[in-house]
Amino acid sequence: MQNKYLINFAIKLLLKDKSSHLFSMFIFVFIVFVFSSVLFISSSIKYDLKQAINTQKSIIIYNQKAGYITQIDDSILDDILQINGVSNVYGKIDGYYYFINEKKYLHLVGDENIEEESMIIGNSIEKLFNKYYYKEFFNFYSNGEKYKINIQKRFKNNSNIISNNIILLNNTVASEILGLSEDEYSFLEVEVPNNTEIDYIANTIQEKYPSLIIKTKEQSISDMENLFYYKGGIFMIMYIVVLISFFILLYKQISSVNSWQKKQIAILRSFGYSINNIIQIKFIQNFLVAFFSYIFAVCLAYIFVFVFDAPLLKNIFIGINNQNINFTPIIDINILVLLFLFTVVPFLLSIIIPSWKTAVKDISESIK
Amino acid sequence: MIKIKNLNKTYDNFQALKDINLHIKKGEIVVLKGVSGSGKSTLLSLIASMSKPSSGSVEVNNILVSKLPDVHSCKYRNENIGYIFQSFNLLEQLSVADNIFAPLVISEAKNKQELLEIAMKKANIYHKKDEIVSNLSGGEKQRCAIARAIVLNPNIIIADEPTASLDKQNSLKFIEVLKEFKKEKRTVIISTHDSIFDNLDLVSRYINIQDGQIVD
Repeated sequence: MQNKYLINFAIKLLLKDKSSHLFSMFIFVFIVFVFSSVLFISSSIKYDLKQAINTQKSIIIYNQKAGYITQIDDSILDDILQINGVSNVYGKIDGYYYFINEKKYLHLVGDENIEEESMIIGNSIEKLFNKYYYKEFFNFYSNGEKYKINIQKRFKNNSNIISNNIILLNNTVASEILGLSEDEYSFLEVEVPNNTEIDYIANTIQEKYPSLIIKTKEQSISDMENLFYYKGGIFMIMYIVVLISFFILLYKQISSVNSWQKKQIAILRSFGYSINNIIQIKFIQNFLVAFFSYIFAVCLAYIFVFVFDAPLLKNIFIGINNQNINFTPIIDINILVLLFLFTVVPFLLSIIIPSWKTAVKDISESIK
Repeated sequence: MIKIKNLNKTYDNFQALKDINLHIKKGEIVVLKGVSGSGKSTLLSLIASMSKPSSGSVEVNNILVSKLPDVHSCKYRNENIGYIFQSFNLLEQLSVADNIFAPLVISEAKNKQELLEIAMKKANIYHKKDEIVSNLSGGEKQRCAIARAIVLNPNIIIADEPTASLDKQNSLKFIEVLKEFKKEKRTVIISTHDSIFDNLDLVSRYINIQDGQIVD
């Protein structure tokens, strides 16, 4: 019962002293907003990339010439199939078509389930085609030939970073547009049912064909993460800026237990508030400020990233050529909880410790 | 009721109180007189258990309040002491009612709303209950401070220079409040150097304090 009155009283004091908490709230919201936006974007991109890699087979084989990835012919296909533990080998068509009007490369992916004169396109591609009035079909030009391909359907509106920018075509048509001959593929996919044998088989292939690039699914995930974290430098700077802001906030919080707040504590102590009561009041007030700021900032970040597609921040993450993608809404609860602990707890301590120090002082001295 | 024995209080190297011995009976109105810095406020804060003595003891209703741990001294202050400060020490941003309710927040009293209303009516500040304290006049602030001091019906009222921030008219009104306290048989200890308290019939005793010592 007493707690109910104490909570009400703490809230009353808080509401009457809004202005001194507004600055703290603003900085706190900014810090949590930046952190959670970056976390939302990175979780979303990582999720999409991992999903894409997870659909791949166990081992990918690329050919290379002079350090560049190049087409691979099917001559080694049977050879690889003979290796114990390999259940199947697939030739994949995957490459880039140069769209001269836009001076931009379009990502073509072969799919044997698609009819010859049809294609499925991503959100970003659709917008690009619309810009040149290709509403129903698109003409690809390759080796002097024109390939009129109908737009069969679009990926659903919430295209992710992978599906947003690709064109799915029939394997044969994709081969022809990309200038590959019948026995050539962009890369090979090797299916190994037993996961424990993947590394061994990858090594065996590598030993047999030292000039090929062999990548297991695990390596692909690791490469993806490395590629993704090259942006880490930029974010380290951002994190440092945000951390500095946070420490400024903490310093402000500590110094904001100013003379009149000290006097307020002494007044409350003079009519019987215990040290615990004072800490409870300060905890309630600042927990409310921090908690609601945190929730507000996380919601703001969610809207910023998943509704408005993170303008400005998106460029840093995925480049200016991927402006039409939508981030898949992925929320990593563990990270949000960690963020909560690393922001709210120091924030609370920064006010409770100086308040406690004031509360334990001689009341008649503090009240002067 | 209040027994003070060999009480000393030293701040750093300054001895604010020297060997104070004093007995105050229930219902007495005692006026501590002395110049600023003589130790009156220090003595009041020790009686209210807001400070701990350097040596000696303060006993109130057979409880050694000078030795109470913080939780118990808080309960003692909340239940037994009504403190009226010179500068009122109100929470300026809150309303009159919220200020007077503040001691009730941590109290175990059941009829809090009723106590609040009684105190406001007694102090004649009920009509201003929703007014923000910073908008009040000096006299109104003092009535608010009085209401806060009496809201839990304490048996001891301590008033530290209660008329120092008031004009003569409001100071005289405070004397009327003292008469009420007398009727209610509350023990009242006032520290003042205001001559308005001189030769008042309702005052049981005048105690002169000089350089931290009681003088005749």
